[in-house]
Order: sequence, then structure tokens, then C-alpha cells
Amino acid sequence: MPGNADVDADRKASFQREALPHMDAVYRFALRLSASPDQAQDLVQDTFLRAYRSWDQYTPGTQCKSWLFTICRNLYLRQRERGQRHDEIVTANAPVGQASEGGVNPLWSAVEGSDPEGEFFGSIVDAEVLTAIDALPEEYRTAVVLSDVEGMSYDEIAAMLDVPVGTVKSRLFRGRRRLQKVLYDYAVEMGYLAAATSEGGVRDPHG
Amino acid sequence: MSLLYDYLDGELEGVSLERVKAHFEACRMCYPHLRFEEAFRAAIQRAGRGEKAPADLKAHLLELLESTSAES
Ligand SMILES: [Zn+2]
Repeated sequence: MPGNADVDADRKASFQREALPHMDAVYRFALRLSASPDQAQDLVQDTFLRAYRSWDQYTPGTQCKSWLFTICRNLYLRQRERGQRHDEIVTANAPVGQASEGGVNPLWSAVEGSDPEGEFFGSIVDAEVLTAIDALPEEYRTAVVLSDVEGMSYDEIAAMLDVPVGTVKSRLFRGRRRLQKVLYDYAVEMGYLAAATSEGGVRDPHG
Repeated sequence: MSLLYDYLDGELEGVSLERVKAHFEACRMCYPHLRFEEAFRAAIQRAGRGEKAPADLKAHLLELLESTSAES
């Protein structure tokens, strides 16, 4: 075909310009998915090779990071189906909008007297925070990472995971609560925070 | 609680954003609660964004891309 070399050069240039800058983000995402640096490196490599081969399917100007994350996650899920991390299967499409999702964060009530603004979170070393994130069930972990680390919107996350926005919110809610509890327990254990003497005081903030 | 996350996650707009923001910043209960959630997120973000792809992985990938051609 005439001009094929030019087309290839253009494609390569646009891929390098738009996709490659997201390599660190894809690596972080792969690390959170697989919890293994070796597997994460393989995932990043496979993600970018696949992305490059299907670069014609990417719509310029759309969220390139989401597109790469989707490829990465699909590769990861396929690998997992072959037998990895079966420990972490969580009920898909958990019911949303339960009564327990309203009201005050019970953990916040526990620290209200000692550290109401959660300064203890800042005392916890990154490695410990990452360990806690990695211990979350995959569905919660993915939602928390995409929202809290990568700053993606509910709509973007819902589209990427192919679930309703309500499911994204529910997973974020549960994932954050779990993570906060783990970090709180760690902070108490390390003496960053005094353990709350009573945890029963869940009150309505405006009652 | 759901509203607090909607707000923190940048999902509110217009009038509801203004109303919610004004309330959270003036309310004695909501304000520290908001700060608490922000401190939590800051810790997650700092930890989560701390890692970079290894340099040799980047170099290796660039080499691979040089020798790969896209499908059309
Ligand atoms: Zn309030």
C-alpha cells in the first residue's frame, strides 16, 4: 500500500505522545491489581503492546488513561481466571443504597474526641497504606484506586467496569470504610491514636 | 454520607454544589468529618501515586514497540 511507512510513523508518534505518558499510572494500577511487581511489569508490557496493536480503535481526545486501564484490567482478569487470587471473589453487583450507607461514619465517631480531622492518616507510612489497599477485595480495591488515586469520575469508572454508577458508589463506600478501619486499627496499634473507649455513639449530625 | 462523598468526589454541580459546600464548611459536625475524609484520601493518594514504572521496563517497552507494527 502506498504511504504505509508514513501511516506507521504517524501511528507510532501519536501512540508515543498520547499513550506512553500514562505508563506510570498503568504500572501503579497493575501493581494494585496484581499485588506483585513482576506480574505488574508483565501486565504493563502486555497492556502497551496490545494498546499499540489496536491503536486504531482508540478515539483520539477521549480518556486515554481509562482506555489503557480497561485493557490492563481485562488482561489481569483473564489471567486471574486461569487460577490466580481466587481468594478474593466478592459478590458482584452488591445491593446499593442500603440504610447503613447513610448517617455518620462510625469510625469518625470513634475519633471525634481525639482526632476529629483524621490527622492519624498522615502518620501512616505509604507502604502500610499500600498493604491495606492491596488487602481489599478486588472490586473494592479497583473502585478506590480509580477514584481516590487516579481521580476518575463515577461515570468514567462505571463505563470502565461496565456497572451502574450506583454500584460504583456502593463499592467506593464499602472499600473506603474497610480501608479506614484497617488504617485506624494500625494507627491504634502503633500508638498514633488512642483507642476509642466507646464506639456506640453513632449520632445524626443534625439531630 | 453519600452526599459527603459526592461532594468530595467532585460529582456535584451548580446550586447543589454551592448549598452543600456552604453547609459543610459551616456545620460543626460536617466540617471535621469532611476534613477526616480528606485526610484519608490524601494518605491514599500519596501512597498510591508514589510508585513509578521501573526505568528498565520503560526502555524495554520502547524497544518492543520499535519492532512491533500496528494491525490495521
Ligand atoms: Zn452538617
